[in-house]
Amino acid sequence: MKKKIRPDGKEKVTGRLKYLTDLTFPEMLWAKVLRSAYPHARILSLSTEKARQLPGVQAVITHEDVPALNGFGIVTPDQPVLCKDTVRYVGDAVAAVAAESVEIAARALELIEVHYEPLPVVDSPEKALAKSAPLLHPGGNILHRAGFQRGDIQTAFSRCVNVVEETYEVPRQLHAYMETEGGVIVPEKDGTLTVYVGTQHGFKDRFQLSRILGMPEEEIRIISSPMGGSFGGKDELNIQPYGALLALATGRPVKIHQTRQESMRSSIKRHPMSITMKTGVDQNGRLLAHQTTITADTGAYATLGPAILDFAVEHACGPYMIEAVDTKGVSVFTNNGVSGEFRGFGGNQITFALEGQMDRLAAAIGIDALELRRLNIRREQDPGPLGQRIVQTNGALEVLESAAQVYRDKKQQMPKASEWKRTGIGMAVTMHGGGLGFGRMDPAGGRLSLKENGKVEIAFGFEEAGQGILAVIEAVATEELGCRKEDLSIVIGDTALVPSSGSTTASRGTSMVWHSLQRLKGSFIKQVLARAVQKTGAEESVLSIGPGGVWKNGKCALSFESLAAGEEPIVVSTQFDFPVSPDAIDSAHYLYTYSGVVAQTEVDLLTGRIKVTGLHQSTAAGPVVNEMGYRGQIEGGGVMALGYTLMEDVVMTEGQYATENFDSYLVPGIQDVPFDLELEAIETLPPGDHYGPRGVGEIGTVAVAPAIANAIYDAIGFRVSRLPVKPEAVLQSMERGVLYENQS
Amino acid sequence: MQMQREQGLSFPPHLISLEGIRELADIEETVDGSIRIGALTDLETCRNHPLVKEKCPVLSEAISTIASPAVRNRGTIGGNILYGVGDAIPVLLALDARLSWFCENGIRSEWMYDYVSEQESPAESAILTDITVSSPIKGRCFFRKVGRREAFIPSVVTVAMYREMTDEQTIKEIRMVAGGGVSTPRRLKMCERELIGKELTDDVLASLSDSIKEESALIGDVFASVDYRRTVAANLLLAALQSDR
Repeated sequence: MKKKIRPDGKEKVTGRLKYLTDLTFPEMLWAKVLRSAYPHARILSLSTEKARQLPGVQAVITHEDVPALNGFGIVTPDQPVLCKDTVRYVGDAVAAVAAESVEIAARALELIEVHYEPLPVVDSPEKALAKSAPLLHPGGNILHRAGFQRGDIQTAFSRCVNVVEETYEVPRQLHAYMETEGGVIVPEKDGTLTVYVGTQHGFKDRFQLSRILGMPEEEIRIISSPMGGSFGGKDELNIQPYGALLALATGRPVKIHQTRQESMRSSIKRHPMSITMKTGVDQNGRLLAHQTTITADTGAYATLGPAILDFAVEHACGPYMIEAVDTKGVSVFTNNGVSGEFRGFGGNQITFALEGQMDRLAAAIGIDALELRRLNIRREQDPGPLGQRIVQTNGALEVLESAAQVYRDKKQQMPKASEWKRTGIGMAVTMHGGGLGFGRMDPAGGRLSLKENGKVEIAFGFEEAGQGILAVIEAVATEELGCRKEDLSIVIGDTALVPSSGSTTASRGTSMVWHSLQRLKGSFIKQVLARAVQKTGAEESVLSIGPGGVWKNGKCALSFESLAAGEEPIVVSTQFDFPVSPDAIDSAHYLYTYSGVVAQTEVDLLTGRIKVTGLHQSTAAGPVVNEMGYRGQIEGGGVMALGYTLMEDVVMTEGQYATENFDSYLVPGIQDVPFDLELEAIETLPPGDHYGPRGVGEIGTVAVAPAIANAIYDAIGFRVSRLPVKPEAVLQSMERGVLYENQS
Repeated sequence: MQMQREQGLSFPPHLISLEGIRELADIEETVDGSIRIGALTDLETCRNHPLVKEKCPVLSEAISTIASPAVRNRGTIGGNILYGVGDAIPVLLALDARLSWFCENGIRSEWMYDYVSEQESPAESAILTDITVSSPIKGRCFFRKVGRREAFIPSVVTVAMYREMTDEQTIKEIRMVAGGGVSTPRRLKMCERELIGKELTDDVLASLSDSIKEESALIGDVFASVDYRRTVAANLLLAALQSDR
């Protein structure tokens, strides 16, 4: 029953769906953005004269043409819309052109004369933190520091019988959404602006654009669905300001659609981090002390860099109960692109380190890695990672035991090693907070109406980015109201038509849709039934909403159309906040999901290449709303994480991208995906839990890398501490003689 | 060419389509039993052709590692060879294939080895017409391509080998090829000479590893170093030889 085909499924699979970048309008112009030639430079002069003279060019804009705030950024608007005197990465915008064709726009960019004085390039956090480093921002090179301390770490270490220390390095990952940034911005006759551009938060874009354009928010309409993927990458503004400025300058619709190379150059990426962890246990295998230092390369501008570091700090001890914890993190400005929002939000980086520590510690004290986890894993009623009260479930232990069972079964059926191949199996567990966290504005809301045409309209400010929010809304609404999907009209992704629901991020969509329905349905059903009582004269107690309308005695007594005909619409709205911990700990989460991952690998001893031959995820996130959607998120997340583990890395040298396109930046293809891809959804919640289904948009990506890394160790005895795992490192490790026969 | 254009290299202002010359898109058995493959045969046809599958399965295997099905349906075997670093080249070198060219003064034929070594067509306006592989193939063939992912990926290392043993288990004839990345695939002639007449003892194989690394002359880049590429080429060729023992 829950294996429903998603409402937007067929159109997407057949390619019939029109994305926003497919739109065209009469009189439409094409725009292109001139990005910086240098990763760090002073702009000495800027002349657009020649570009303006090129026939077909309708407008050329620079920093002088930004009417209000020349900056954007979800929290701190420190990124110039158009740079005036300094460029800080090769994606920094210097000018933008609108022309009659995309070719003319491209030619015009070549005619813009910019003279730069190159400045020293800060291409690593180490360089940025050096005393002599040039300051990239007035406040210095440190974007954010975060930390957490519990207990006396030194005393705790002194009581440890074994301590393991390792530094883990994780790469810059690209979201690699199918549809690059783009859309059309239309100046309307009444002076308002309609922005047809994909985003994860239409109302936030409206706010940011209003601040840039000096226009009231109400005069800007954001239409943002459907879009061809995001994964966090379109959460921040991208090309919207240029389209908007050019549309206003020319009075004509303006289309921008970045090429893959333009996208690679300007888009945000996952934070590369260097994480040093020192972890100690007592003779019984109890974790006593855990010290973590995180250095994140946040690139040139802030976006959500601080929150991502906070998230990593929060999850540094994951689902384990550790007596003494000392976590320190710093997020550092560099001239390496911009790091920002990405599915997993700092959790993937820190979990790779933490779960690497668990396997190393287990080996060091000679106990089974599974047993070590079981000894230390949180139980129901234990406080959250920052000591805060959280919504209690037994998810951590449940995913561990589920993964343990899978691990045992798979281990018994392990394929035999061949002459030049070794096989291995590994596991990892994690917990992952949903919502934005304590102390952050995290409003949600929705609206339910019976329209004049008899449709039950359900409206949210969420965006459909491929994640399947439409299917979730359909499933939750039909289940909670009792109507059919045909009775529904789902409205999302248009600020003119929907209420604010907050951002489509942080695994919050599913959860917030469910919570909204809980708040909306009582009043809505009551008003619908009251009208049915009026119209039929029946007792309310015998009436209920069912497929097609209001039912009585097992039959549809009155259709929604008849109920609505000639009447005012029934409208019920709700506004509330994402639930947070009663404990006022900054950025702490309240709702968590849990995951246990088992990975199997095959290592080629001749080439050092790793093939993942099996990936099993056990996920505890409350009831499954839509099985296909849930599976899609976990499996898709798993494959994305497999790429992160084995091949994905936006390589930069001296602030320039070495990977400029999909010929060198690799994402997994179907041949890289294990045939043995499985999922166990653990749906149980404690009695009385009233938080319903949790979102699973991120959890499937979080603990895959460490499970694969642990499986590589099992196969050949090589400890992975740097992602992506390079075949070269594997070969070198074997030349050093770490290869051992584990499968005799 | 499309990929090169994406990478910003200039595209010729005019292109002439040869697609209409159907005669160049055939695979046939010649009178002496060899296989002649028209240069315009698309890779997918070539890969699935009964003659290729039956008489030269290693070529079919090699072609299946080139690009993706969609590209193989459009790309031709001739295009792959003229690209200079195509993945069909190593196996064709190992099989000692011959190339035929249509020149101003008629058809000219040459060893693939000579073409690849010199990297230029026999005449300026020559058109590659077909590739001939001698058949039946008496010895054993080996091919392996290693990329940065499982499929649809340029090669990091591609190796191919042909070898024939005597009754006394010594090497009678051998052709070893290594290529990958931007390195032109090349025959490892010195290694081959070292092996002729030898038995594949541990000592022989041990000394061969360094020779392969040296002679393969593979070039590194930011994704895979010189050392890695040469080591992998040696590992693969040695493992293949070992399996013969």
